[in-house]
Amino acid sequence: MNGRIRGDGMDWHTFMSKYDRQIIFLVVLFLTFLPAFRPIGIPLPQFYLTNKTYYAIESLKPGDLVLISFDFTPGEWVELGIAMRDIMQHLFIKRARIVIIAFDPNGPAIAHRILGEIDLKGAVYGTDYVVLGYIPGFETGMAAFVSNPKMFERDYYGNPTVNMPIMNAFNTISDFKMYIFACLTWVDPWMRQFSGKIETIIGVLSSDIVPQVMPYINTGQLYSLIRGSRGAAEYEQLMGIKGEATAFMDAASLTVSLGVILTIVANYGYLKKKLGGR
Amino acid sequence: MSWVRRREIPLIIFAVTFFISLLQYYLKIPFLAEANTELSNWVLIMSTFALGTGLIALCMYHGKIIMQRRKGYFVSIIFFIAMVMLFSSYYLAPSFADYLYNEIYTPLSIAIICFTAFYNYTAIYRAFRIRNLDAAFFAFAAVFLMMMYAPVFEVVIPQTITVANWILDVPNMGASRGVIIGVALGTIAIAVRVLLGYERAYTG
Repeated sequence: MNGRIRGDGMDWHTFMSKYDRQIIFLVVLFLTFLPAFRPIGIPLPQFYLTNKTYYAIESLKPGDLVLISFDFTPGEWVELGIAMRDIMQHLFIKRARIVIIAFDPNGPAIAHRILGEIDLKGAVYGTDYVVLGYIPGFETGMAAFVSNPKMFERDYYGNPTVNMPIMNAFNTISDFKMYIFACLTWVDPWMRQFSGKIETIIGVLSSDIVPQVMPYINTGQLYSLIRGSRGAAEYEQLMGIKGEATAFMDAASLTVSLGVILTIVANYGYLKKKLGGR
Repeated sequence: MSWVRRREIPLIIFAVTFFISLLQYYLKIPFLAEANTELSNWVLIMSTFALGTGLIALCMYHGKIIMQRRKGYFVSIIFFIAMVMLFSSYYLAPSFADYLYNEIYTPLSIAIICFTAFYNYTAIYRAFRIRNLDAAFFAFAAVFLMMMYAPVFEVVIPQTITVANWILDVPNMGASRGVIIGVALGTIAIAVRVLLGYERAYTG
């Protein structure tokens, strides 16, 4: 094989440079669909922070108050939504009392969707869990909620909150045992407003934001995190379920392998061209 | 100059709100805490109004396109239909609203995000060429971090995770801390500039 792939003498590197987009699109499409028809079942090693998150939730006692904020849009469902669904399921299994808020307008609808998909384990709305709704103003909204967590007079569904037993279970932000938030962006606003006020803060974050968040983990300001759909798959493994995220992991392995191969191929071709085809 | 156009008024409003928010953090004075809560509530109310004004602006923009029959005006018609359907169904048939949100809006949003994956892989092929030392560091770190997120590499070559963790914990940590401190200092600098009246962009 002399590297010629076409009759007109175009070598594979020139061919790849000319049609790279079309070829890569097709390969990504193929690698994404392949595991759906033929699962590979690649083993899934655990990230230490996924373990830390799991055991933090596992250590909750029935009735412990957990604050959750859904701060992402439906487009990020695969990266964040599945992990949040798994965590919510775990919280209901542990019989924690859950207060749901959102700093993104899409948050309450996503929470509503998740509550419809998981087993609530007999939890009663208003007593064991409540969806308070969206708080506008982003970081100012966070600050307002931190200074007065009882700011909601009505929940997301329009019910008055004054007679809900769960609303009488807390007066200040420190009454919450744990805070779990899911976001796709940098975590600075959440850290500024919540850090030091709630004992345990856990972030469900996009994989690509994790490197920037690590300083907060090392200082303890952020107790732990779940890194996107990979973290969700690890979490499902810890819970002993084979869910949606686990199914994605084969496709993730294959497509990321493609990324590594593309880096090698790009550099091989580039260096060959630079060195004059030697 | 009319008193409503004077630059001192926005500056005074900024200074008062700034000092209330700042001092309530350090001083345990009930009045300051109450004033800060009240100010936060005002911001929440204004943010809610901003959603309304955003909706009005969207309607005006798309309405204009339809009136003038500009290219792609049918997309604007779809916008109005979708908005009216979702808005009315939340009050008239909540289960239908859930259906619209979960079965139409969510998959469409995911599909749009997924498009970027294809472009990302093309970008990897084009951008990760080691043209100089900087690009070499960039490609080296990127390859190991990619390997970190794909379970297959961790199983086949466990050493990759050691290298990836070192990248995360040492160079990345230092750079990220630098960015965090830089952003904080930049924010303080802007606040001081606004207080001194050098930064006037927010006055319009």
